[in-house]
Amino acid sequence: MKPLLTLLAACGILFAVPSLPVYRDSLENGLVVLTYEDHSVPAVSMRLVSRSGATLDPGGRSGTANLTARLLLDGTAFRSAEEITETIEFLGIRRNAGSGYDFSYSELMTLSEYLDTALTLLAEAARSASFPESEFERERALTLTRARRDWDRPNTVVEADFDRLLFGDQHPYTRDECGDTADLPGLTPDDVRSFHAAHWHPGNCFLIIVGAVEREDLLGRVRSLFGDWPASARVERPTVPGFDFPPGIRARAITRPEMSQSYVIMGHPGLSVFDTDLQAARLMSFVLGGSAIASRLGESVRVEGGLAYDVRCWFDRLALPGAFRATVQTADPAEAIRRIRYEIRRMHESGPTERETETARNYFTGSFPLGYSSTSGKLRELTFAEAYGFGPGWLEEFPRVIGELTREDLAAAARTRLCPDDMLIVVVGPLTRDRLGLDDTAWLEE
Amino acid sequence: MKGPKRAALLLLCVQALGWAGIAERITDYELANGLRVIIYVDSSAPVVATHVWYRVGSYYEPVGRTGISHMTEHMVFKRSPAWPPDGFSQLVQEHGGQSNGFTSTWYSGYFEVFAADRWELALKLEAARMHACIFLDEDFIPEREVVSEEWRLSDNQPTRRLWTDFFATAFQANPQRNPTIGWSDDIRNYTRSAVEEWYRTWYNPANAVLVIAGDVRPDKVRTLVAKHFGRLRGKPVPKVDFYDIEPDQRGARRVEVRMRTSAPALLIGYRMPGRRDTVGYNAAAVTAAVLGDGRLSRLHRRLVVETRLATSVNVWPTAQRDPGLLMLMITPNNEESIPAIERVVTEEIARLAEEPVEERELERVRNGLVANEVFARDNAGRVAYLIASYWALTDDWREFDRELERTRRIGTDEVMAFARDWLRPEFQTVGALLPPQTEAR
Amino acid sequence: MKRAFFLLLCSLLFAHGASLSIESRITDYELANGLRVVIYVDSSAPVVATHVWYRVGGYHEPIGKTGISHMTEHMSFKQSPAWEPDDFHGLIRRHGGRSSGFTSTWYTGYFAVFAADRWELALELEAARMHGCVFTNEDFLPEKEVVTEEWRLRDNRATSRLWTDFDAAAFQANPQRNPVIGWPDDIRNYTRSAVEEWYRTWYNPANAILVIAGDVRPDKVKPLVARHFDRLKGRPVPVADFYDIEPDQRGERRVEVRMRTTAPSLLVGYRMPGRRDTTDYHAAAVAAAVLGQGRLSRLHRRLVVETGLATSVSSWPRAQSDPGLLVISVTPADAESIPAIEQLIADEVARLGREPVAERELERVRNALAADAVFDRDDAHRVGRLIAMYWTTTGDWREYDRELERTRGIGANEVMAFARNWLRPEFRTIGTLLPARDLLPRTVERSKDETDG
Repeated sequence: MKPLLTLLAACGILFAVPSLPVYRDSLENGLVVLTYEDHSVPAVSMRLVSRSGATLDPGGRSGTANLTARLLLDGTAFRSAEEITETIEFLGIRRNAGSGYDFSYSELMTLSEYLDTALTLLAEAARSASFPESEFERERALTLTRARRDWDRPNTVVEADFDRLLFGDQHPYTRDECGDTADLPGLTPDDVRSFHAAHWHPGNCFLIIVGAVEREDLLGRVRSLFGDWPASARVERPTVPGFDFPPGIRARAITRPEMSQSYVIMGHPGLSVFDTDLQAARLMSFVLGGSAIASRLGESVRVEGGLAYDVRCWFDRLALPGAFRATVQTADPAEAIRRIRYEIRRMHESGPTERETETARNYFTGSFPLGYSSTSGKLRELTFAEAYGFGPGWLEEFPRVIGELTREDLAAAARTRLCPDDMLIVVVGPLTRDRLGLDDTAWLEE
Repeated sequence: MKGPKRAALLLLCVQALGWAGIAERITDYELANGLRVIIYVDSSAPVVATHVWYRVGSYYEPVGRTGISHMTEHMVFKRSPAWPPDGFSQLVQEHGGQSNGFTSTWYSGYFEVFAADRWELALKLEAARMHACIFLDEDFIPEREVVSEEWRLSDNQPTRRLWTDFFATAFQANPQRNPTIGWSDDIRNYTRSAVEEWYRTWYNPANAVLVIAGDVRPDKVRTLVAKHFGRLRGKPVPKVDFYDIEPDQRGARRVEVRMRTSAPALLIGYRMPGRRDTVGYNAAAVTAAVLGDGRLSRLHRRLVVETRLATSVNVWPTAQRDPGLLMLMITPNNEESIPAIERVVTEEIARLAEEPVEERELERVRNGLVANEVFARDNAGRVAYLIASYWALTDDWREFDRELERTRRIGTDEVMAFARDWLRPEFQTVGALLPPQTEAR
Repeated sequence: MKRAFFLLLCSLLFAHGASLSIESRITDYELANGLRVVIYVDSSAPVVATHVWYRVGGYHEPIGKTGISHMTEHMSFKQSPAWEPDDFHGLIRRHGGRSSGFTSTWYTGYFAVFAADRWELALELEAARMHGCVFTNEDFLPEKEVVTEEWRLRDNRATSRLWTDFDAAAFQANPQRNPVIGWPDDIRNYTRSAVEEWYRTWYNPANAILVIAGDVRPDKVKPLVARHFDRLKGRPVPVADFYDIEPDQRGERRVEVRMRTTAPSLLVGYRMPGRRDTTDYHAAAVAAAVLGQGRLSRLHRRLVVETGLATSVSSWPRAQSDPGLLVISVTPADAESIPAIEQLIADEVARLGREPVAERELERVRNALAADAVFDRDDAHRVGRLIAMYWTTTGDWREYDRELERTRGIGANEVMAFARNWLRPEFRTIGTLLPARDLLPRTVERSKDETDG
């Protein structure tokens, strides 16, 4: 799955990218260090990423990976949570943590002045986070409330239902990346402690540093703080069963009379981030529904039809194959669904035009640097590149990969990756199913 | 009392912020038609951000036309001689750029970010947007539907409803009380001609700022700006100022929103002064941070750590120009904790007015505020945003600099005076998002 | 005794129901310039009331100009060719008449009452007011101070504050929310020219009704009206309609006003529909009467008689054209009783949605409403006022006649349906006036050592 990555880690090859000051180094214990020098403001951000995310949450214990990352800096073998907070808040250091299906991370952002303090705290936390009970309770309550609040948004309802119908109950993608409301109350500090022990070690982590640093100097500091972090066994990645997707159009309507608008999601199985036609499929879906205005769906549903504020479609970009989804929120779901289905079919049958392809290429290559002009953007792109094995040269390689895609590549992706005849549609809103204009549909009961 | 640590901090701020350095990289002038032009040079990436902001937003709208600035924002992407009909976004995409527009209470802003070799397109597009947009019914009618859908989108989100109702209750007269998107019936009633008239009134060089930030040379930029914007005619700008309109609040107010929700939410607002009260305005920022910025803040400690009545607390000053609200946003553990949370908030607020805040606590808070400012400037696009917003709100981007200095001068006495004068029970508005009542009838 | 009176009244109403209609006494026409003229003949006394009302008030005002209709009303007494400067009232008095002007959310009205032998003066004066008012700074500036003082008067009156804050909280978007006198900063910012422009826009025959009610002969009145009003020019009238603007209310709202007061006060308002929803609109009138009109009303019995929690209670529908509020106003015995009062009100309101009102109780209410209608028609001046009011708020004075009929059609089912649909806890706004905790100086000083560049 990650041959390139394994190779890099094994050889400890040092990649120096010629024009962008991005460097990838490996410590002896396997920890990969990515450095992006940027001296525009006197600040440094550091993110420690574990290559394990919600996909690896133990069964019935979703939220473990997320809570582990979020609590990493709340107490270590050497300092209480209170002491850490006292230090970082007094110095104006900001913390952040997050997780996805394929990785989880914890980060600090500091004025350059306090780089050592921040790096020391992060190293200590990586190695000896203690996950005290009281902090665990606090963070779990916060996460649980947020998860519950999510269910107030109709899009959560519709997405969750879609995922469950598409992937089946057991698939990791039916879990909330941050933890399900059903699982979170049952988690204990021991769950995060064992997740930390199994998934946060140098062979399964990488460190990204962005900001006003010099690589050589920085590596010295990193080595002294992380160098003796002991390596540990490789993480076993259990195989996830595939899922069946029956042919034909299936739909479910969840009627909520109090709503003033219907939320629609429709789609079918998509692809994995490792698939070779990933970028072709992305560009194709961009032409189809990459923006609520400048795309075929936007043109038809919003600009011409005035049916919705937002309409778009995309392919999930994750390690395991995900979904292709199109979404819209509208008072006239019947017409919007009709138009979206029409456009998907048209794209499937004849692909994009030469001009659309050109626009998509220009957009992806031209706007890519804008995405990493900020510190948070640099962290995001480097996390993605490293987690999926695209390498530190990705920031510069990407435009080349995109530039080589042709209209035929996109049309091929449309032919193989869009399935207008096999579609799952979920609608949450005030209308009953007979008013959704879906006559060719097998209805799934609520 | 102002020990070495404080002195070191001040020094740090000056170095770290380097705002003087940023000021040196700024060229600031005005065209004859009234357009304010600000050029900020930052060559760290071969990218140029172009912002054009207008001083118009929901604050400027009469009743019956609420949200018309936002509707106008939608329409100015539609049609002009500079891009094919509905082709604005495509054109920008074809050049590998990004663009967007946004409307707030106080301003409507547009920006493009392009690679440095092709950014002139942004000037051409924004000049056209400023004077040559074409309003046709065939564009307008469906776009009004789009905006109605946008309104529905927010109407179905319980927390959005809570914010809308909260502001509409906390303010009686100041137009900050109206939602930026407008009241739904107003949206239905927009006419093409009213939107066009709104556009002709406010989209006007004399009511706009143009900020160009990135890898540019000011002398070259000046020539290009003159080429694209020099010939536009400036018009008189209507004067709109409701700074003092809001009557004194005489008692606490409360608004509930009952909607299908699984997690209640609590908003508590206290009146706070506007920017013209230079001391009070900045004291509010410091006070807010003492109360609720970070885990060491007083309310976080009491509500989240000690009593566990809430899972999160945020406190921040929301006044941008006129007097506004210092907001507390609290996520209660459950509906039943709300009365106890309110009691704790009342106690902590009373304590602020009675006991001076310790110097160490203030220092932490100020350090946090200063660090935030540094982090907020990490690319040219964000600096451009800050410059434009200061222009829109204060008429002078240099306020940015002064504001930080004023924040640094806020000490124990100012915080106590602020708490005593403003954080009073009768200046409070409470908003609660709760599940629907199941009252037996 | 009381019972006998009701029975009598009852039979009177049903026997002579038709005679309550004022239509047979009315002459109704429109001038070429758009002025609506209604002549109502009532020769029971040798008196003539002349009303001129304009469809302009707080409802029509943009933010930043709130109260400008009221300011215009003040100015319209100042100078015109028909009277000496500041002598309008003197002139009226010298002719033994009486007159006044008033501004509300929906209209601005003027009337003069004279003996039947000299009432033509009223036409001359009102025609002059309609087109010939002169606005000078020397009148305007001191008058603005007068209006400011009028505002202060209200601002210092605790109950005015309570109503102001109550309306501003109960309505989010509908301009009914603004006080008729305006927000104080707007008053400060009026300019002479803005007021004059307001006058020129709205004081316009096409936006007005002239009602002449009393001891007159229509054929004689018509030439007089023509003489004074024909030559005025009608102009287009701006449309102001916010009937549907108010978003649904999703939860209870509360406002407190803390002021120096010896008697706390409680207002409870529930959303009610506007006139376009004819059934529920009239059901609201009946429901309000059941709840809180008279000593036999439910809330009076429970709050005043049985529990002694309150000293008085009353309830009425407060919606003119647009959707409004059914208001329950209570004077609590003391501040501590308020929670118990709120609970009792909630109980009674819920009961209204659950149990049909007994026929006998409904009969009492209908009789009371009918009696009010009879009393209203007792006096030509009052009928003139109502004709003008119905015209300005509904566009048709005949609504006045229809109202009673529609109210009579409301039965137990309509009341119950209304209560169930509208009198819901999440549609409620509660306002309380309470004694101030501490009497701090009224305004926080705004330091203005530095202003924006």
